Amino acid sequence: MPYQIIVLIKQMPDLELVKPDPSTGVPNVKSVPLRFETLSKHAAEAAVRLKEKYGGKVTGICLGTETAGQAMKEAFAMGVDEGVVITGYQGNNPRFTAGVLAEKIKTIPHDVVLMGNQSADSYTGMLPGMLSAMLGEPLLGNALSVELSDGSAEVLRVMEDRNEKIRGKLPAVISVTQEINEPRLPPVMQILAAGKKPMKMEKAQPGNSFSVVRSNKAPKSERKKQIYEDPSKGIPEVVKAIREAIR
Amino acid sequence: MAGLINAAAVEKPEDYRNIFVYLENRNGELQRPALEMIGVGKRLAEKVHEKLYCVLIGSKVSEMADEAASYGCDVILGAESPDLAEFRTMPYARLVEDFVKREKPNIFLIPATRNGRDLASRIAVSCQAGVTADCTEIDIEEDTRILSANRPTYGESMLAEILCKKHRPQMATARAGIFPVPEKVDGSKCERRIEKVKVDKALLKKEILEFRKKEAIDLTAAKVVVSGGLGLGAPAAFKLVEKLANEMNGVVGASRPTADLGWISRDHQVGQTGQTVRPRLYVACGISGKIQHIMGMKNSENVLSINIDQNAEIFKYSDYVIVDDVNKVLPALTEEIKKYKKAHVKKTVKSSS
Repeated sequence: MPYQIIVLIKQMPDLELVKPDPSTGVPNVKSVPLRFETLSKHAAEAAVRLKEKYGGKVTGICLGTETAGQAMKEAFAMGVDEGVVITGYQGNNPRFTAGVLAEKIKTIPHDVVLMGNQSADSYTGMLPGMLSAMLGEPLLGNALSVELSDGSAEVLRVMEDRNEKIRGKLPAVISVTQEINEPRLPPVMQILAAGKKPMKMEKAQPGNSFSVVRSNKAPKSERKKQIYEDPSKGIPEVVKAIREAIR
Repeated sequence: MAGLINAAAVEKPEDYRNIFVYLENRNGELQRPALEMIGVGKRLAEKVHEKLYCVLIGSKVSEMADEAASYGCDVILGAESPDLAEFRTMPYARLVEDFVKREKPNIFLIPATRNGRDLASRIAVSCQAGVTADCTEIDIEEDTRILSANRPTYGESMLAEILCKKHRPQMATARAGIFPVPEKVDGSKCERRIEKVKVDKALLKKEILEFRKKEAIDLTAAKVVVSGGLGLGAPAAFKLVEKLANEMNGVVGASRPTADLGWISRDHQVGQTGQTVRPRLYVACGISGKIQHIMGMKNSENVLSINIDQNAEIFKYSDYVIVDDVNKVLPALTEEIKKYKKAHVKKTVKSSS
């Protein structure tokens, strides 16, 4: 039975390139290139694998910036069929993001909404639950595997001290863990074909924020950073230094 | 839905009083994050002279309430039913929402565990509250009673301080494993309001089919954690890590790639997708220091790292750094600690005689 699958795509700055401005301590995020966020890449892979197994169609939705089409094209190359890019991302603001995405998702018939369980750059982990609440669809969270059958989804989910197998009725929101799969490297032909897949561009209505960021700066490092390049000298000194901690 | 995004601010923030904390429990036992929340909540409550309310939902609430009370809190709001032994999203969310709407707390803290996130995100939607997620520092401004919630951003490289000025309650989820468990207090008086509830089966939208126990190694309680990374070069080198850990009465941790490659089981993994630890000493052996790993160990009291790469990112988060091949350093370090312990034991024997 074919399934209509929605996958949420995110962009993130290349974290290795985010550096605090030396004079203000504020990160230089605006000048850093954006890429396909890690967890949503795993979600895209999971979505495409479900399509390959059961048949159906995968629609990507991305709330991002003007350059978000690039991430969507990467998702296309992996096998996502069509996409909606909504510009007007307001940074790490899960309530706003969830509101905009829920509005859009409601207009697209679907059986499953897939997403990462927490993004690699802001990792609030708030979006799956908020979307589940706003859409009124059950959340099968932190999936390590997903199987669909007879209008329901069976998910093996990862908890802190155990794994649980759970079942929920479709339509459902499913968030995936990083361990669920290894995202594919698309072949060149698919990368070329990705440019021809349908992509809609839309704009989000700006919304209010529930909170204000008072500051966002590199924390003061309180580490001693004592470096020993000669282990024969360093080891005895380190042992002396850590003796309290290991008593 | 637009109303949800642009939810109206509360008219009188001063009507919202006291500190709520959610006590995570499983099968009738309070989990460590629950105790961490009592610690944080108590500190905030004392600072603004308000009460600490513990929200406790589960099957053996009365017994857990005794334990919670022993750490010192003012009120326990409980809902008890055999059907609530396991965390069930909808009934749990509904009960917590009722408590929030009835008691109007100024602040509500929930641990950022898997279930805690599920719960917090829903309460934020249903109660039209702002939530600052995954905080690592939490404080309150005495005069304004505004929550100062600090969360790392951009891969731990930045710390954002986030305030929620107009909406109530001010919610935050707190990263589990990094706040200390408070001391128990003698003879604490605590008001208990525990209700027996009936769970509406229609609210149960998911079935739990089976539990699969993980080989759970709790790294979070360890005083010393010695972790290995790809710099070990081969799975067999984890033996060296283990020897050092044993010598210091510690436990063995690991970076994600080593678990991915099957060098060690997943339950040893430290970091964003593993456990968060806060030992007195963390030893990073051959770990480069990817942000996902840093997230799980950066609140350790002391960090020693051993890496042959003198530009390893982990060095920024370390107190002591030994630049060399871990396979050489580990045995030497283990020997040195043995030697130190022997000398130390002898000395104490002498001084006591």
